[in-house]
Amino acid sequence: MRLAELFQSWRRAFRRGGNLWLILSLLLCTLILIPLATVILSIGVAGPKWEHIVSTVLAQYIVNTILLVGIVLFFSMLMAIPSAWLVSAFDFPGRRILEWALVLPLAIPTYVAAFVYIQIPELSIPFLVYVRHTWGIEAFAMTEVILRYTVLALFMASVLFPYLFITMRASFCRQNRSFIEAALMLGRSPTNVFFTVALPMARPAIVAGLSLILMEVMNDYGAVNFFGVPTLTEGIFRTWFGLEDSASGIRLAGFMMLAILFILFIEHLQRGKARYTSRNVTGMPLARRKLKGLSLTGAYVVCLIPLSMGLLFPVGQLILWAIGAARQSLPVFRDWQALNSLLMSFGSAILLTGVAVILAYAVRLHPFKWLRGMTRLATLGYAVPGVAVALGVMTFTGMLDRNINLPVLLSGSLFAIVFAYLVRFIAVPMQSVQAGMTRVCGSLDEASRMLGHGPGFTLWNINIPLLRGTLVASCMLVFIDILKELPLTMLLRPAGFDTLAVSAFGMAKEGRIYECAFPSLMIVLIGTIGLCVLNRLIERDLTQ
Amino acid sequence: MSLIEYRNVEKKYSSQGSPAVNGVSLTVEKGEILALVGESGSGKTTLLRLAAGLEEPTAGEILFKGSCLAGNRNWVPPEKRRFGMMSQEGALFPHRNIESNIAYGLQGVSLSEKRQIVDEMLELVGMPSFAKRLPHELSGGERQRVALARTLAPKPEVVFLDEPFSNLDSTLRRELRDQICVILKSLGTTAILVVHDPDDALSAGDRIAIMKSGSLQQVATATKTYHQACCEYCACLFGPANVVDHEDNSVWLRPEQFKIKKKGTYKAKVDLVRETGRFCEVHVKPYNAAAKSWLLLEPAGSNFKSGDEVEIDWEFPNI
Amino acid sequence: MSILKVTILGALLASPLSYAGEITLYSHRHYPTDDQLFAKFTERSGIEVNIVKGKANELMERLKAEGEKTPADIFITADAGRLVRAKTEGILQSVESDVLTSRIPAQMRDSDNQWFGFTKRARVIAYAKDRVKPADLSTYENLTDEKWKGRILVRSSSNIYNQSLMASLLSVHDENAAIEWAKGVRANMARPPQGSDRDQMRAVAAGLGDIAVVNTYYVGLLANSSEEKDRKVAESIGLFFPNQDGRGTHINISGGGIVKNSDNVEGAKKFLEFLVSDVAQKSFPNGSYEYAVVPDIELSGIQKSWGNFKPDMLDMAKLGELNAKAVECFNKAGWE
Repeated sequence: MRLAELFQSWRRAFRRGGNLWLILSLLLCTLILIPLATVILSIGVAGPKWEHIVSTVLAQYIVNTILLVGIVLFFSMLMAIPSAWLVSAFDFPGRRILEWALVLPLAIPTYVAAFVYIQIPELSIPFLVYVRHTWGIEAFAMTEVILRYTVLALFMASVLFPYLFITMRASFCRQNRSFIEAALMLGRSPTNVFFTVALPMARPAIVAGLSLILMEVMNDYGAVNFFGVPTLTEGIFRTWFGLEDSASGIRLAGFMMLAILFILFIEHLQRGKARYTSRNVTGMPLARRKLKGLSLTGAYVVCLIPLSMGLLFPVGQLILWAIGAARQSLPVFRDWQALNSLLMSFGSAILLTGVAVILAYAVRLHPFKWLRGMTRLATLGYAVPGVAVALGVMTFTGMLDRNINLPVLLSGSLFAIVFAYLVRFIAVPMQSVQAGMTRVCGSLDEASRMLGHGPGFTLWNINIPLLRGTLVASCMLVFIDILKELPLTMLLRPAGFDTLAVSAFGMAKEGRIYECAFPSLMIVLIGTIGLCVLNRLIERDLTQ
Repeated sequence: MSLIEYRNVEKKYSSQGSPAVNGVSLTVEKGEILALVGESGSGKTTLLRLAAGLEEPTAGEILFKGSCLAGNRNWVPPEKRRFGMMSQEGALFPHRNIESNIAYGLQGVSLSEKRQIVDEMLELVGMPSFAKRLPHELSGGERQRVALARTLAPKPEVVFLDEPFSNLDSTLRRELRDQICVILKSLGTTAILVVHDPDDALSAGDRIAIMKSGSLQQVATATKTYHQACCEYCACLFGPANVVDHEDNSVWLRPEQFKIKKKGTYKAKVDLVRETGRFCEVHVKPYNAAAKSWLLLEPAGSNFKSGDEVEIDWEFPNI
Repeated sequence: MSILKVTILGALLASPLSYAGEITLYSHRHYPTDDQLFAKFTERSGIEVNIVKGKANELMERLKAEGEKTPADIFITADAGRLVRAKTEGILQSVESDVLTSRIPAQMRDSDNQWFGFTKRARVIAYAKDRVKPADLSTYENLTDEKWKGRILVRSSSNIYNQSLMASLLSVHDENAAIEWAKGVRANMARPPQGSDRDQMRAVAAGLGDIAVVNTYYVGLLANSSEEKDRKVAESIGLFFPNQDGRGTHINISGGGIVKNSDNVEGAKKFLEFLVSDVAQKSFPNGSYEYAVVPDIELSGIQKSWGNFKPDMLDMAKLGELNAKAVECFNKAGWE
């Protein structure tokens, strides 16, 4: 768009009414974009050690990242797709419980899973010793690496696959049964129908779920650190702190951000197509077939393997540890003040949802490309590594503190960390609120405007009551995300303010596994409760 | 002075694409029902939304009683225009019951007055016992009636009806259409009505405006629109039409104006004959006219076969 | 509207500036025994201690960002390298204290009195008692020898203790030799570098490798673990202090300094002085199994069992100066 046109469009936007919303959303977007811009702009600056990084370790970081992402995505598909299909297309005792439980591994952060799963490489030492004695050091080294990568990728997949499971289940449930029935009538077997009709039709859902998992893996700091697999995120830490080259560190973060944006762009293209193909699909959902005999056993195996890997085993182990701590009369938990962080997570979640409502509503009131583009840019924080967001926010608040004489310090305050959460996670409520507004509100808010009520009144009396479910759900999602968040929180938490995640990670890192069990369990428990609420809402949504 | 006036209104959704509404000038008089028709995507809904204030014109002006609503640096937001709007799906608020849906647009009115108006409105649309129901408990036709009641409750001077009956089946649609027209006329409300179905347009509209790819093609009364179409597009919108040359112009006439006679001006060969129950449709190929084919409606049971040679005459309608 | 609310909320919740009876530590150390020690300090001085725990690097970034308004009074790390970096970044200030300068040996503190060590730890070789004769061990340099092929266990180069060790090597060898050394050790490793120092010892006990490079206090922690498994690990390994015939075993310190923008310098100074007092110094060998920096403090039982050793007398400041170069050497040598 040319500048003159942009200006025209601006002027028009301000004459449309509802200016408050426009100004507010512009302000919020700008605020959110500043730290992100810091990261992107830093791509232009090569630090003193950049050449060194490129010639020595960069390739390793990239290979590790791609390898890990690839394997995790592969395992996630194995875990999510068959189980999602089974619970959507078939009926068997316990199906409803499974359908619900298979979402729960999301409550377990990757680093908590890492505390538990690090035992496998440890326990397999006798086996490795055996390999070494029998086949020599080369075979041993290879076995060791393969084992470690596989375990890492497997457990990461086992706690991240629900992202894919959720999108796949939604896709299978919304698929018009007439397509599937048509295929069945044409003489295809159910398995064949799955591969030729259901799966291809669910492709956009696969891409959406996988891209979420991809971002989680690329952002992960705790698990890869625990397993000694230096990925790009780990590389940023090492460059920033080991090589003492902050410029190259942020530059790495910038390139990583660009890479994820590129992937998201492809996903976006996919999604665009998906909307086109599924526009008129409003048929009856699938009629579930009953499973019997061998296939019933098979179904249980397929559903229970990911469930036990992602939920039962880690939770069981944590509980055992907590009991162990109690038996040895160790203080089960020292940082009771970390519970304060729950309040902060919850407050942030509500604030973020509120901001999302403002942004989404402004876009609805002013359907201009530039505003839409700006809000979309503002949601890119989700693709940026938590470390990079923290660094961007730190730079920003530091600048404010030095140049503006505020009565209090912004850096290291709750404001800074909540702001960083806003930058990092605003995409989560934005996506659901925006989708909800289009889906639930339709032309209802226009109807309200035509009946003589202004934008504010309409938002409060029409959009918000209609979106109640969506708002609760997105609030829950953000809450869980913030509760689990580690690297950003570690960098920005205020003085003496430990969150459960920080507390758990610190103890696990020191090998105090008994004591890390309690805060880990707390995170898992709260996450589970949140997910249950969420799940109910999703379910209600799917059946409506 | 016209009640609503469009002056060279243009609306572009994107800077590159072709405009959805392209230089439309149109006036709507007080108390009349103007029906907007045209194929889908011709810009009729956009034209409606422009007057309602849900879209902003990229050029031109929209006036209400001579004062500018939009364009020329003016802008009155939709809620300040005090117009009514009823959409295809009714847009009833699903979380409010019927009563509170209807009362939603009533502002600055005491509670007892509100109650009274709601009752009146429910009476008007023939649904007096529905006040406490929720929208999802209603049938499609009932919902549309409530939507009408809600639209009319604040007593707007102008209402916009965007395909209000297109989701209903034909019997119900006709019934609702006639009912709405009666109500609008009894209140003296001015209305712009976007319809898809030509029958709806012809029977509901005092005047009919025909749109094609963003431009107005013809604005005229129902009879004129039907019988004196200005172009092939306008003619075909309302059913089959046969083109004839008249005083160096092409004129579109309805099949009813054509008769097969023993001795006629035109000679033709019967191409296809189809019995429809009501009529016998006879497709002919005239020898000595510019048109390739004509459609004639002969009484049911007429004994024509394809290949028959016939002679044909036509006359202008008597209007 | 809501922006305003957010700002106000942020302002209300922003961390309060510390008042006279309170000091705030930014500390990289997270030992439970530290908390007890700090409680003792509060009991004696009446000064409350707030602790923000975090990684040294992150805390340093935060100090820089917070500038003048930082609530921090003292910055504590578990290695010398970061202290030197903090000094060059201008985060710390000089303190005049006879107590500190008289009690702490010169190479354990900054020449400008900006930072002071209060505990030290040695990076030693832990070996499997049943498979390795201590006589085969000699120096760090000797770890590149053929005979250790597939037998060495050591953690990743991102770890600061390894970086410090490399820095100490760089202080006596040139860069090429250091890279060659790292390549040699990497080639002799039993597995790619991973896990903590404790994990290396566990792996030695399990027979995965025969020797591991670890910090002394981790051995103490294992030996006094609540887990029997870990105590068995500690029993099965011996400790060897390398380079005893040469420059001595590489040591590093835990230390701290007063933050330049501290608003309770007096309290902070009292705190640092407390850390080198006999009470505190005696608590370290028994609590976290570190060595005291103040000479002639009695060793704890387990430390006695390791025996006395000759430490590398290299100025701790050197470790900081050579740290970035050390990381480069690791990267070039392919030690992950």
